[in-house]
Amino acid sequence: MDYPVNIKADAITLVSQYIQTVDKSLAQKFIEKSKLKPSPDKLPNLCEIIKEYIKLKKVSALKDLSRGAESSGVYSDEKSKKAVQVNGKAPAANKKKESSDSDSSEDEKQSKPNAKTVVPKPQAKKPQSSDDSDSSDDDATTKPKKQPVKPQQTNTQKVVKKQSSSDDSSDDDEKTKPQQNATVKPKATPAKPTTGKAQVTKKESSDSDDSSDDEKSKKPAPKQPVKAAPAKKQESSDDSDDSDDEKPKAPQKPIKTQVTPAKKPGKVETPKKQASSDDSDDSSDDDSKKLPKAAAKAQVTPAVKATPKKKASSSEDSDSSDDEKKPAQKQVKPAVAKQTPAKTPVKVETPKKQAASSEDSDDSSDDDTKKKPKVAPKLPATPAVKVAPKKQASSSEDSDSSDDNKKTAQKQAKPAVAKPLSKPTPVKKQKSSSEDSDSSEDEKTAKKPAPKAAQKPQTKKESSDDSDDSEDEAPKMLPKTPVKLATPAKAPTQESSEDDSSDDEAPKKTPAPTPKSKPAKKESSSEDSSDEEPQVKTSKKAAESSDDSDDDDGPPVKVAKKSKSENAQVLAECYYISFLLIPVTGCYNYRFLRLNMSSPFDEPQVKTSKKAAESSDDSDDDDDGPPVKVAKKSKSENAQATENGFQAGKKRKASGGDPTPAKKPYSNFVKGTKVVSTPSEKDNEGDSNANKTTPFRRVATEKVEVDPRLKDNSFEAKSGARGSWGERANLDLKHTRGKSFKHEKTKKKRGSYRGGAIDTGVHSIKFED
Amino acid sequence: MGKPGRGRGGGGRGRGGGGGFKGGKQVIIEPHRHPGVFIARGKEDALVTKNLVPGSEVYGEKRISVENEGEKIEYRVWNPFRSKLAAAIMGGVDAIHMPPGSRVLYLGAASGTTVSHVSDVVGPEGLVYAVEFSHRSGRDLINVAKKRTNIIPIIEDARHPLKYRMLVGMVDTIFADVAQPDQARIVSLNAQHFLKNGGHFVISIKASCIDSTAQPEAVFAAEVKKLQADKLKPQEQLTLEPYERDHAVVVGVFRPPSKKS
Repeated sequence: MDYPVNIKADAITLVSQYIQTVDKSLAQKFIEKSKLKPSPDKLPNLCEIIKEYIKLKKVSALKDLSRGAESSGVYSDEKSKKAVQVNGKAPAANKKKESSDSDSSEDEKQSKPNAKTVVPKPQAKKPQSSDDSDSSDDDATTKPKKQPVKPQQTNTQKVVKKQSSSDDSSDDDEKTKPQQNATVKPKATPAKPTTGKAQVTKKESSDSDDSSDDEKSKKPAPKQPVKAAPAKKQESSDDSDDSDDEKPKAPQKPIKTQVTPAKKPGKVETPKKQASSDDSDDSSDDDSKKLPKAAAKAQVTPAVKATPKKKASSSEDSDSSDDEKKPAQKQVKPAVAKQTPAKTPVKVETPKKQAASSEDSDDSSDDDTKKKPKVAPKLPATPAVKVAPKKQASSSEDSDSSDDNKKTAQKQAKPAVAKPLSKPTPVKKQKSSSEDSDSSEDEKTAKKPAPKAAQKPQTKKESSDDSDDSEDEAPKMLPKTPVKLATPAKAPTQESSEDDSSDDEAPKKTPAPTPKSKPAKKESSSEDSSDEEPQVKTSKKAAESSDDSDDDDGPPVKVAKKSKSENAQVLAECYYISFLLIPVTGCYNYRFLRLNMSSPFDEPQVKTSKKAAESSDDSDDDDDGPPVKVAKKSKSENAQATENGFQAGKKRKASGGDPTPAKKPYSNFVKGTKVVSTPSEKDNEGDSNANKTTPFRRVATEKVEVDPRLKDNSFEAKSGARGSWGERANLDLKHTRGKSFKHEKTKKKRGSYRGGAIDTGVHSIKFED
Repeated sequence: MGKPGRGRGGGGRGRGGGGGFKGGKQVIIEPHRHPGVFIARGKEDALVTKNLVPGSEVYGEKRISVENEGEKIEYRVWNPFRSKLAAAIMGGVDAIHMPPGSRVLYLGAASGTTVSHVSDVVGPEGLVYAVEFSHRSGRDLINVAKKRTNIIPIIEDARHPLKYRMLVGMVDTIFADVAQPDQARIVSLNAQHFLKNGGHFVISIKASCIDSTAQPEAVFAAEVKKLQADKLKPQEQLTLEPYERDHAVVVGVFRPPSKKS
């Protein structure tokens, strides 16, 4: 701006020279307009300058890697983290840039990091606004957009990674990323870019900055809750996974519906889903599923669709993002990443989009027909999102369900993401995600949260079949929802060990849902806009999926979560999953904090906690099915306990599911309940024992109110005692006790007793009414 | 000679068995406040019931024969130290609700000593369903019932009224001397099966059987509350001192008809 004239002249000279190579007339015009004389000095070719610049960048990048900290204006910490992450990220970004497929296919680990990042992003987006996820999705979906977006995402991812590197990056990358990556890869080549984007988003979300950004965008409150929810879910272990799966699905669905590019968003979602289950990626259905997810993302979807719009709106978004650290980070990241310029721009946009995901979503919705339908959903969603934070803060209104659901969905998505990451069952999750979205649509009318959860589990169990079930269940969804929720929880937990068996159930349920969901997905994919309901449903589903209990009602959800947490704790004790419980509880706490606080900073913590929980979960999952199962079980149990084990069972039954699967989940529940009950019983026993320590007594003298007239049961206290026939006997017996009394009394029985006259008066004590 | 009473009154033996009363001319039998119960007033007063089976004693009690216009009437002495119902009467209970001709369900009949007096009280028109779970006691009870046709011995657990529901009709009064911790419940069960609405119950409560550590008064109060919970409305309570230790008798009504309605 205020550069010295000579420098400006040099710049103009360079530009003019370059333009001359292209068009001399244009160059002349340029010079004329610039009103500056080209510097006579001999200047190097612009291309050469760029070359040198690139070289320098590479060198600096290497330095950064080695040093672990660049001076890009980003926080030193972030930079350091970024630097570290950059190494991983940079490759990821490169891969993404080069080929999304390669990323996905290449390294699950890399993809995992991406996925992890993605997870955060969805969360962040969700918290901010479904739009964020949508935006990412949109980017992915719209190939042109995608490219830019991808770079942005990558940048964002990098940034996120850098930012979150300290917090989650390590954990997420390790466990969650692999899963997510795997899932993402299968989903599609575009998915890779999306994964990258997802990573970015995840990173952002993971980063405190991201969260803060989100909050700035109004989403902070929702984000916080969402994050908390995910954390909770994650903590809960299985439940969280389920919810996560659902959430991811929801976003994916919208994406699908919105556009093929949606795949990228879907991928973004998929990462989450992927974490839950890789299968979804593999199947093309996943994309369709993604579409449903997109619906769930509805908010996000608009962003995705809007991607172009987003760009336009990106300014707004960027503004919002600018407010937040993210923009800065993103910008810095691009530089650090040295990504192609295209990427950088894209990145910038993406951050904006993410930050202003809500706005973007609206814009996008407007632009696209789909967007229009979406917009409708989005509008509610966005308001919901916005409201959601408020609601979450206030935590109390199901009516807003759609909004709440969306919010919850966002939250759920976050948890889901975390869960997927943590959970080894990416395939299942993916399936469930796709199915879930479907189911969510069906369930729109029904209790979205519960159904979603339930569907998710089902879907998880059965990747494709679930959709059919979900359709069937759609009406049922309300009742089923709880069941589904339970089932999901069950599915996750049980699935590992029992899921297979439960799979049968899931298939039944899932099959139905999946068909429905598939159609829905298709519709949504092609007619996302037209299908506002699906979107809403998806959003609701997502919300539901995120937290069956939580989603529906902010306050109730919280309570449910709490109860779940408590249940989980009990279960954990039973299953020795104390660690899971702790994370869950922490998440819950975070949620509460977020709800109450709704401060951006809270999110980072939550994220971290989530990440930690995820990491623990993930590690567990990776390690063995059993631990995972346990975690899942605990989650499921929690969900069941909170919501309704019965409902879950009913839903399964209603779904016509297989008794065996139902039984398994049920058995789990029963076990859980039993376990829970056992403690109580034990407690009772302990109480009884405690009582036993004290002498047993049927009558507590202190607690019995005695009529004053009846206070003394002695003969003297009785009216008419004096001079009565028994007075003499009393004289003989009143001083005796026990054996002597018996002896004296026996003597009286012989008939030798002489009492004198018999009084026929009434000497009893009458009870008054 | 100038002392006919003395010579007639069982000679100088004073109190040998029923001898003293037997002689009877100096003994005046007067009805008690409770229908079917009499008081033999003589040198020493005694609580007596009209023997349903003259010439036979049940447990070695003394009998008093009174000639009234050439008609011999035999009474059996009812020792309050041997019978809680007698102790309650001696203590001054307001009502025992066992007038002649009434049907009484007697829970905890034991050997049938008191049951025999109850059978005297209700008379030939009345009925006594005597429930006793102990076979050894029940054997004596059955022997008593053999001579007293108004006694229906039932050797069953009073906790399971369904087991003898086919033997027992509706009754006017339930007398319970089961001395069990759950006697309130036992009475309630039987009342629900056999006690007519507005029927009465007479319960002897042994505090040490319910809770030997608690204050007897508290135990009684607790039992009264239990009875109230089962629609057994207590009307009066009486201590059995000095005839029994830590005993009380509670008399009440079952499902009393609402006065207002």
